Amino acid sequence: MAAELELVASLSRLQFATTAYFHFLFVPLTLGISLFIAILMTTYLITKKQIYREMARFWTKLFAINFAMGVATGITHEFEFGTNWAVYSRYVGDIFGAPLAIEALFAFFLESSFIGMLVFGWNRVNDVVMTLVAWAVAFGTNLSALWILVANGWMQHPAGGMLKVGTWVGGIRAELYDFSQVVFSPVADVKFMHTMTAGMIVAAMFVLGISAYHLLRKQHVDFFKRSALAAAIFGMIASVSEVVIGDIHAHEVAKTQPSKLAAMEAIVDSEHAAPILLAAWVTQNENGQYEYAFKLPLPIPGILSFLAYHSFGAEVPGMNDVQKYMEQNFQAAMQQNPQLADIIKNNVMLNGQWPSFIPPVNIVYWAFHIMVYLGFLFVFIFTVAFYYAKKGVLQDKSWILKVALYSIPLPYIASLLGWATAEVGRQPWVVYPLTEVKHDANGNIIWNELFQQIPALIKEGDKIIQTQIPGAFMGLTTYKAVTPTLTVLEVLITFLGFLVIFTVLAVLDWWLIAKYAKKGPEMTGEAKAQEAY
Amino acid sequence: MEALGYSPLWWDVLVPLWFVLVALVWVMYILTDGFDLGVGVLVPFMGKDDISRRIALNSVGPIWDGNEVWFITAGGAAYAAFPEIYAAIFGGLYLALMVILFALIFRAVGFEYRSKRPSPAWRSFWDWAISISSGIVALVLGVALGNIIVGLPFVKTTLVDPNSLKGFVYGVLDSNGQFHPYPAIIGFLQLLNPFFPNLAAGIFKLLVGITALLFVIMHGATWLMVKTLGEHFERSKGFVLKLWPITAILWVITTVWGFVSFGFTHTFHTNNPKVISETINIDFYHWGAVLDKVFTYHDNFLFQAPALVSIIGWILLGLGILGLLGVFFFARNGSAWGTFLSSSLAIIGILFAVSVALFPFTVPSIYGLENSMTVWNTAASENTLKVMTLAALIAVPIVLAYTAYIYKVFLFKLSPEQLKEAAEKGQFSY
Repeated sequence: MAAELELVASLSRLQFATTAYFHFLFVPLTLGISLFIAILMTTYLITKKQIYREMARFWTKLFAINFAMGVATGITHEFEFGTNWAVYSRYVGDIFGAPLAIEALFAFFLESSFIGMLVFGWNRVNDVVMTLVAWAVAFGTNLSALWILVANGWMQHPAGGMLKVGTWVGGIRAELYDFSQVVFSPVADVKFMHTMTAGMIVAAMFVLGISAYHLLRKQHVDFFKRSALAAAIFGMIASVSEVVIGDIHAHEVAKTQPSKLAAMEAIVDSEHAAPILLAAWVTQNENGQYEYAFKLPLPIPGILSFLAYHSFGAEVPGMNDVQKYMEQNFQAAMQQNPQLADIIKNNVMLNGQWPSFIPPVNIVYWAFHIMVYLGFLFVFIFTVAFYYAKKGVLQDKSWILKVALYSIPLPYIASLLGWATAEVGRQPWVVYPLTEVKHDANGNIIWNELFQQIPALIKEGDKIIQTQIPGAFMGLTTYKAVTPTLTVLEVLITFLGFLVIFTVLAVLDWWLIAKYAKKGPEMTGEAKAQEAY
Repeated sequence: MEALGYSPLWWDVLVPLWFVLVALVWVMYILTDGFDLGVGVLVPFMGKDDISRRIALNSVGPIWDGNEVWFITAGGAAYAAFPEIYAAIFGGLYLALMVILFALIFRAVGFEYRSKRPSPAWRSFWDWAISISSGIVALVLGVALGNIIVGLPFVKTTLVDPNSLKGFVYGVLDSNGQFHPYPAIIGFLQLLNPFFPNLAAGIFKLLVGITALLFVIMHGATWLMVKTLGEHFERSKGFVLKLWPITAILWVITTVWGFVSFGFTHTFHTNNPKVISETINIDFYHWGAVLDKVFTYHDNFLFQAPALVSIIGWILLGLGILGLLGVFFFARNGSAWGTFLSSSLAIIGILFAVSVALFPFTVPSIYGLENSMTVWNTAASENTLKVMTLAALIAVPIVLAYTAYIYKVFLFKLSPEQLKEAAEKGQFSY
């Protein structure tokens, strides 16, 4: 593989990460606050208290500014798979394209059509319709997330696909075998729950923080006391649920992506009754073996084994073993299916060598752990805020108000760290080979059966053979997925373009959000209607 | 392993069906986002005063976002139904697509930010940002259409280099049959090069781009007629009548030229049955090959005779011409809806006529039949197409229903008085 193409792949990764990160600076608030607004409108309809309608209008205004950037950064993604990852797209597009198209048809239309109405519809249609519109937007945004995460979940665990060899323009491609396995993949579904709840936490902290800003200044006290209470309830439910969902998610990762688990928990050597490491740093020695530079374990054995595999004694895979046994499993798959060996040589091997199957450990470990620590901090903040808000004294507790205000960025950071864990942790794969970690009765990992079987249609001469092959053949590494005709210059231009433009627009966006957030609710009140330009 | 078995009949019907559906989604995009792109271009020309420009912005304010989703859907539908086209086109025409994306980004935030500050400099900046970026989107899409009609330099790389590259790749095939991808930026400039692939085709594709741009602006002006009153209505009508002669002339030139030189008679002469079977239908099933030397067809296709396709094509072209004439006559009589619907009819007619003329090709190659993309050598599998068909059958009627409802809610006329009144009632406007 030419060095130039490796650079193109690296730049393309950087560009995709940049655009994805900018997108996800705006998406989680959309996910959560749309739901929050719909709940406020419903509360207004039930209680008939005008203040809930005012609250819904005020938060809608901030939501709309945020949404514009969500759309602007999102359009890019629908096309970046083709522009930068053409090999990936033609290899798995038959499966990966469907959830994206269905997302557009069922969800993106819904949210984008009704967001216009949510912004422009006030006092033009009645409040019952506006409530339904708010629910349509909330449903649309979250359904959108579901389909995107179905697509992403498939890259992590490509269930429901099959390989077709020798009958297509590109030689081989993955084709859809069972759509229900793609949609109801446990990996995808738990990812969706995790992301949706993260969005609720972002929105709750956003509302709580802005409410705190006004309460600290003793302005619009009634309005923001109610907002803060609503946000605290919303955030408490979300952050407590997130702890549980996060645990289920990690369990799915442990079952399907041993290399990611090893990096997330910095497990160097496979271990029974493994403890959790509160902090760690991993290096590689000259033989390429991983070892600890330093580690701080929680002195209770078996916690990690239990969290990962629901058994205190279970063996947890370490990086050195994952590398060794991945290589062995790939080698075995090639020997069993010599006519298909070229697929692995093309899609996995780099210059005839096995690549490292372990992602950049320290990035993944720390991204994951800081996210988890932040998650527990959110439970604390929302619980305290709820306690005081319920007692009606939140406006007097300036310390928690200050904490809430300065914590607005933290759920965003946690979300981004979560994506870093998921996507950096997926490396070197763009499509992870279909893997399942199994244990025997003694809790030992069955290392020589890492891969699940996938169906295949193979053309030999004039015959087409139906068979089962190991999931190894589904794997595609990121460096082999890049558009082969791209040049460094092209990607450099667009990468810098995205970086500069998104930075400027994001700063503008937040500046506008901050401006309207500080202005407070009269802007949308009937009394000051003339100010609405 | 039942699900692995292929029933060729289903695939044979679903592939052309998805060609029609993807074409339909693109037409819906040009139809709906077309007018808000046109309105976008016209924002600074609506008047020097803020209120006139706000009337233009608010005419599409609540709906442009939903309209733009057709673009996302078009990309998604192409990805799911024809993954090879998606990979080849967007990977090959990298910078062209990036230009469109950057323009769409500016437009989206422009709409939202523009009225958020009272400063005239701020507003003027965003007015021009919206105008220029809207124009760029229309122009680039038009040039892309022109390029597809004349054929693009795509090479089926498995023919030249079975090991390293896969599928259809954008680049040069030299006289020795060696493939070279275009160096950076040159590939993009080729799209705009009036001498490529030859002078006539080069000028044609640029003319298609200019025609598309002018038509989209005119389409936007017809929407402004629907949404405005008084002096702004007269101004919008003026745009339509001023743009009509030049747009109509270019429309006729490109249409006649296109259909005579590139359209109904794709002259890919080849007698090699292997090339034909690989291009027209994948080779593990084909039910015999009956091929017209001039117009190649899959033999089992429902519309066996090219004659029928020609008739459909001519009817569509006729509708296009009817729409084009309608724009002028309705505009002159001051009928806003007549003008807008005529303009829509013209878009539907011409774009579907082009699609019919292209079929079964999707992206013809200047390097001949064996390097061309057709529906058959780029389509998704039967399973995917079945899932997608089910999804489209359920989703599209729902989408159309609520889109119609939202349009109905926001179909009131805009004027300075109306905007003021709306603000007093606590209604939001840009």
